[in-house]
Amino acid sequence: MSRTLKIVLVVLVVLLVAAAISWRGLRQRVARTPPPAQAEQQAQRALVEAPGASPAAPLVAVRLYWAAPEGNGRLVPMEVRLPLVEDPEQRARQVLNALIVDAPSPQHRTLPLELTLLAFYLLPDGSAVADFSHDLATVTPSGILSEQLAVESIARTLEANLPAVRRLKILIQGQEQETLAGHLDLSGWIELPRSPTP
Amino acid sequence: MLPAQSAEGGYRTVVLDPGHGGADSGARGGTGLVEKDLVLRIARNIVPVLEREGWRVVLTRQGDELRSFDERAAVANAEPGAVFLTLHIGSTGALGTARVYSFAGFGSEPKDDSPRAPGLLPWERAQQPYLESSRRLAALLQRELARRLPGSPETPASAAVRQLRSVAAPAVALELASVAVNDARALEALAPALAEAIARALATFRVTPEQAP
Repeated sequence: MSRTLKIVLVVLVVLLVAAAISWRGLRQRVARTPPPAQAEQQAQRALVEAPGASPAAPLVAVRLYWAAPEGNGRLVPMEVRLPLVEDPEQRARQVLNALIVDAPSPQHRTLPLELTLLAFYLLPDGSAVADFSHDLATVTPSGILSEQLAVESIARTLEANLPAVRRLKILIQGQEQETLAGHLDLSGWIELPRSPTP
Repeated sequence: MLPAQSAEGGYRTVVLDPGHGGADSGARGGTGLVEKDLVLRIARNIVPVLEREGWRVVLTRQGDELRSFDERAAVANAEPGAVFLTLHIGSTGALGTARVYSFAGFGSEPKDDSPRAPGLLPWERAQQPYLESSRRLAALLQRELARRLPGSPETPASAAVRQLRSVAAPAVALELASVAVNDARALEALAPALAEAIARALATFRVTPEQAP
């Protein structure tokens, strides 16, 4: 074997080892990367998370309304503690984000986990506008009961934790919708407080 | 605007609305069941039972057509002495149970101070004068369903069901559970019990009509 051939072989072996190491690292990085949909949700949530909410902020008890797990079509209030900020708009975002992601079980959930609260506005007269991502219409199970639970859970959670909110308008991707997912009327304002439906 | 209806001659027509249709499939089950198809098949089974009881029955759609909420409401609003029933199958709830809803707005009506001729109703609030009648019909129907479909609630609920908002007649929504079943026949098998419950409730409702608005 000539000296030149030996050098070429050594270089090839070194290159192969380097490629193997790089390939392994690349696979590990890909495995750690969340799937595109999940990454998009994380990015959306990061964008809309309440600024100023620090884990060091004092924990405040809030009441969130989720579906009764026995499936009787009712809502049940559950208390959780969150590091709430003072600003009512940001506080509403924190509370509604918790309503979406912190349900204790899938049976309790009234809103899809994929859902993102895009914006929340509170006017001086107590009128509030909650703008949700399209998942509210496309992922919420279609039906009178499931759509009513979704809207009621939002309304009653706001009513329990934000006394400044007097009425609520729900938008989807910034647009007024005729219904949530084919059944429940979203065209009007939801008055708060109000007595629960039977 | 539409003229207020009167049930002076008694209730004699049932406008039966199989929800959704066309591009609007309604709820979809994991095994491919589609609400719009199931409610149409069930509605067709209910028609002859009501006709035997002396009702004239009008379906808001005969096939897989897309009809708007207002087009369906208009069918009932053009029928003197009509009762409106919109039929749905939800995504949740215990299989074989049924819930009945009367309309409940969310409380905030658009401000409308425009002058109006007596006896005319604003389209968007057409259900308002009929709410008491609708609640009574809902209570009767829910009671009959609870007797025939175990696990169904004893009392009806109210919800902002879009389809009911513009109906100028006693109007209720019936939602059956659910498209999550594996076999459509499990739901279609409930049609006779549904038909019987609807027929009994309507018979009671018809003999004790409330004051027309």
